Amino acid sequence: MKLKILLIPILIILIIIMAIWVVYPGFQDLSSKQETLKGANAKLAGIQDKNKKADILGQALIGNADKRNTLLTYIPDQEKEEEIISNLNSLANAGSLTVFGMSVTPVEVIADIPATDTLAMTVPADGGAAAPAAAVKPVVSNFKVNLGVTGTYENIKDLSKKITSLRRFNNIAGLIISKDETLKAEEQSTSNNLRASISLNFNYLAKDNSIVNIDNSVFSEGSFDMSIVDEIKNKMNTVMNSLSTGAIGVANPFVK
Amino acid sequence: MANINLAAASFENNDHESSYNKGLMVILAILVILAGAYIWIYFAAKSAVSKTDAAKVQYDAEYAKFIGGNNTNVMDFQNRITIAKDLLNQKNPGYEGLPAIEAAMVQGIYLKALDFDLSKNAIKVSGVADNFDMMAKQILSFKQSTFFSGVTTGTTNLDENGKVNFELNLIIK
Repeated sequence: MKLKILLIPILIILIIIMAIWVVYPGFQDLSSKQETLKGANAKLAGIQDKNKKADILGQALIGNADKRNTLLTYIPDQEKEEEIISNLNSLANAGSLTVFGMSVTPVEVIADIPATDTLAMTVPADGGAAAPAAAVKPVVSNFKVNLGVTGTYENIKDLSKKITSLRRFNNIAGLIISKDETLKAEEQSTSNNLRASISLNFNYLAKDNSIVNIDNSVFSEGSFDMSIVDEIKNKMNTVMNSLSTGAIGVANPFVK
Repeated sequence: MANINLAAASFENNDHESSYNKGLMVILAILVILAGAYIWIYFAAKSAVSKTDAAKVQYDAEYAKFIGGNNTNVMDFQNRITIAKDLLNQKNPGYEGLPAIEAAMVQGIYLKALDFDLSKNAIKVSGVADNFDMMAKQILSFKQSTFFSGVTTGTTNLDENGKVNFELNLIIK
């Protein structure tokens, strides 16, 4: 009889214990696991969408080879100083100027592009929790080309204008124009034979195959903003000519 | 002799027994429901974990596809677009300074040299004027130019022909 009386309170206590220490924590655990599943599914859906858009972007690259080349000419993936020398020489000669010197100074590395657009991704260690690694900036390598010419003011000015509108990025870092100091004062006032030293900044962006930024907006948008290529073509009128070696191979390198 | 109604007490006992049993049934039902809920939670959690693992494995495969293949070319092209946008809008006063100087030159004065320096954003000019008045006019003219924000005068001297040789530092806006 006593057991019968105690049974109900014992069972009630058991219910309370089960509810508080077994079922409720289990429910909380389930909620957390379902949240994790939801997150994993969202990430999966996100990367699947980005992969689809990446395929579209890849096709866009193949379909826009001309625009890609224009951009690669504007910011090449190599120094290609020989092309610069050839083009500057051609421009100077076409502008009736005499080139008396040209030099390329050693490469100086600069990285001035905002890191937010260019984060690299680490391979996810826990299978899916890909996280941005330390910011990796695309490294633009900058180098100087010095060009020395003689000729008239008009021709020097015209050359400066043409260099400024080259379809390869450059800017004039220094421009010194001077008269021949050996001339007499009377001759100097009327002489238009000038000497110019032009210091030019050129650059290139080496291709880095290790960097793919999953968070880059281009993979969310699924298209490139090609307007910049049209802008280059419109603003930069001096075409960069490519260079070929011509006939090569001699028996004696010390004889012409 | 007093009459005792035993039948009524027996009825109350039966009623009490019935309530007790009903309560016990309810409590047992709650216990069964709780046990059932726990079993459901256990299997649902197990299922969620396995689905999460499957999603992660699939994510890994998708990620491997993403970082490989053609996406390095896509990224490279996008980097060039980003950089080109920045570079194309850069001001390049190296050439623009020449027409600005031409426009501001006082007639009768000529330059012996000019030196543009991008790092200083300035052009240093060396000129020859017939007299100091003309040199002053030249300074005023450069000051009035919209291309320059400031003019500072450097060394000035008279040469053997009585001409004024002067140096000016022109700060580009």
